[in-house]
Parts: sequence; C-alpha cells; structure tokens
Amino acid sequence: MNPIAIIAQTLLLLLLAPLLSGLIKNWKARLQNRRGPPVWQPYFDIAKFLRKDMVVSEHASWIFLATPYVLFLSTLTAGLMVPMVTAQAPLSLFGGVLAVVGLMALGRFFLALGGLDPASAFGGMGSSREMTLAAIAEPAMMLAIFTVAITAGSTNLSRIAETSLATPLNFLSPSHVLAFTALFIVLLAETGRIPVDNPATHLELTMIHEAMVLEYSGRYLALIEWASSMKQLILMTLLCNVFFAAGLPAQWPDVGVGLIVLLAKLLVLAAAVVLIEFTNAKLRLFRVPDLLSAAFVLAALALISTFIFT
Amino acid sequence: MNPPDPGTQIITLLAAAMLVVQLLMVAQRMLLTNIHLFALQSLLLGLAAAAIAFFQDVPHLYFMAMLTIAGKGIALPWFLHRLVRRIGIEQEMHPWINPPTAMILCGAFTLVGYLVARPLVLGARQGANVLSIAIALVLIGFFLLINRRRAVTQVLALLCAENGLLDQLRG
Repeated sequence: MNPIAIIAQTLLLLLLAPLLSGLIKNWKARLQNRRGPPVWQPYFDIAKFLRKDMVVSEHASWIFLATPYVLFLSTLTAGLMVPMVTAQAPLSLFGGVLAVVGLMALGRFFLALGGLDPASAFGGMGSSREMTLAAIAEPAMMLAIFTVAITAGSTNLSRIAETSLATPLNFLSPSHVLAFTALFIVLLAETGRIPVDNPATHLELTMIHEAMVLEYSGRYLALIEWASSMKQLILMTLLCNVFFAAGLPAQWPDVGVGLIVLLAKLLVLAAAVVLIEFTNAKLRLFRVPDLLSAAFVLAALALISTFIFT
Repeated sequence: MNPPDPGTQIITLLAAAMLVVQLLMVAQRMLLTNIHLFALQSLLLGLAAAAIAFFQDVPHLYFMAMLTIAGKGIALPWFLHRLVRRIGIEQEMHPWINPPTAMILCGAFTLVGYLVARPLVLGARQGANVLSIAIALVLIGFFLLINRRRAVTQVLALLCAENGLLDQLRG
C-alpha cells in the first residue's frame, strides 16, 4: 500500500471521470448531427452545482443528507481497488473484487434510500426501478467476474490483472467471451445507458437514475453526479483492464505508459458504448429484465464453461 | 490450463463470438436487429474460415470465407432487409416462449453440445471447443426455428442453424 499511489489514483479517478462522461455525450451528439456540449462540460456542471445553494425538503431525515457522502466515498474507495494505470491497484482490501461490488452495492443502497426518504412520488418510483434492475444486474456482474477470478485463481483484482498479463491467450477462451458480453450488458445497465435508461432525459415514464436524484440540488447533486461518472469510469476500467490487460505496466513507476494505454482502451470502449446508444432504442421498462436476464444467463454459462471448455 | 497455440485460440474465439451472437438473437425481439445480428454472425463465420485457412494452410477455405462473407454476410441480410421493408411486416417478433426462459433453455443446449461433442473429438486436431460450440449453435438455431411464428423469422433461424452446421464441418 503506497500513499503516493493512492493519492495519484484518487486524483485520476476524480479528474478523468467527468471527462469520460463528457466525451460520451459529445460523441453521441456528433453522431446525431448535433454539435453537442464540449467534452469538459461535466466539469463546469460540477463546479456550478458546488457553488449553488441547496434546497432540502423539511421532511427529509439524516439519510437524505448522508447519502451523497456515502455514495461518493464508497465509489471512490471501490475505484482505488481497481488496477487502473498499473497491474497493482493502490488499495487491496479483504475480498478484492467482492469488496468492489459490495462497495458499489452500498452506494446504490443509500442512493435508493435517499430517493425514498423525502417521500416524493418520483424518488420512490426511481428507487423501486433501480432495485428491480439491480437485483438481476448485480448477480450477472458477480458471475461474470467470478469467471475471470477462477481463471486467475484469485479474487484479488491485482492478481487477476497480473495473470491476464502473463497468459493473455487464456483470457480469450469461450468462457471469457461470454463473461465479457455479460459484463458489457451490465455496464450499460449500471451506468444508465440507453437500452436500459436514458441519461439525457427527465421524462417521468422512463427515468430511473434521474428519478432517484430528483430531490437533490447544489453540492449534494454535484457529489452524486460525480460519483456516478466515477462509477462509469471504474466499471469501464474493470472491463478493459481485466479482459484486455495487454500494455498494463506491472509496477507503479511506469504510470506514463499505463495512462496512455488506459486512455486508448477507454476511448475504444466509449466508442462501443456510444455506438450502442446511437443504434438502439430504449427498451420498455418491462423488457429490460429480458436483456438483463440474458446477461445473467451468459454469465452463468461463462462460469460453467470455465469447467467444461478445456 | 496449458495455453494452446494462437491459431486454435483465435478459431475458438471466433466460434465463441458466434455463440454469443446466437444467444443475443434469442434474447431480443426486434426483427431488423435480428437480421443485423445474423449478418454479424455470418461475418464471424467467414473470418473463422479464413483463420483456419491461414493457420492450418488449407487455401481452398479462403474461397469459402469469401463466399460466406459476400453471400451470407452482405447479400442475404440486404435482401431480407428489403423484403421486410416491402411487405411491411411487424417489427416485434412474438416468440412462443418468452426470452428469459428461452435463454435458460439455450444455456442448457450449450451444455448438451459440449457433452455430445466430448466423446467425438478425443485425439482430434481441433480440440473439443469448436465442435461443441457448433453443435450448440445448431441446437439453438433449431430452437429459434420452433420458437418463432412468422415465415421470415423462421427462415432467419434456419440460416442461423446452417451457420452452426458450417461451423461444425470445420470442427
């Protein structure tokens, strides 16, 4: 555990996450023949929200006030446990990847509570939808990650990345193709991308994430928006560094190479996400479990395949 | 798990990608998306044929790769696309079995494919993976055929099953 590494990765997470969100927004707009907001717009948004006053409902309890902090910190801690620019993640706690998933679940749990707490109709609806989808998306994510963990023989993400570096061909087996697809679908669901949720709208009928955070304003909203863009960055990093570890430096000092490689991988992955958002229509809410259960079956199949496909 | 040579690995990878595409076809309900997925799958099949031709030095397979990509990857999907536009068929398919159940069934088919293939390929050059995936593709293809109601969608399913069959020939 290296304090410089922790500080560096914290800064990277904090600074890169809004840029990634902005980039996806900008590319999507370009594909739709719009000029779109500049890629650094999310930074301006966050800075603006941080300066604004907050309005808190008089019916809200301490849960409403604690939620943004819990969400922000749990996401940040989860991010520190993911190898980003080197195979060695700065923080490795109990359980490795299980802790990452657990921390994200904690954030989600509080966010859902925060949606329910002020007793607005939309917040409750958003929380209910989020939990419905999370109940399927989360097991799918766990199974997909277990597939990788079995190949590496460890749930520690740094170990997984190292194994992936050492034997890249093992990570191109059928089970990993299945797991990658499952995890990609989960990524779309978890980050509220188009077949599942529309990040660009506040339409009552469709919104999930936006409905939960409708009551938040000012500094709290900034924290929540920041946390959700960090979550997107973490999941995308997880996807590209675990399945395509190639180019990841093994030790901390070579961060320059690692950063460039990471950026290149993220750009490719972001392009894939944008393409999916652009070519697909949003699914009806009751069709979303179809998609997620497909991800679940793919992940389960991936896990079984690690034992049967030799 | 000892690492096999890159050639086998790439061929298996392409076969696995075909399986994923096939499973996605089971999971979604839109007709045009289905045609696009079929085109993608045919493209992967063509690439797999080219990979075999390259890695195992059988040049006549390049011909098959070209035919597959041109015929099933481009011409057929284009034709089906036009057909769907012209007869104005409904976009959403109504399968007999709902997608989540169908997915679970298809997962089971994949396992059956593996169990059936294992005794056949003991000592074979290509390894069990490609053959078992190919059998799974055929089974899922036939399942799609049974599961759908309209002629166009059934034709599409039959073509998918055929993709699996071609995959099998190479295994």
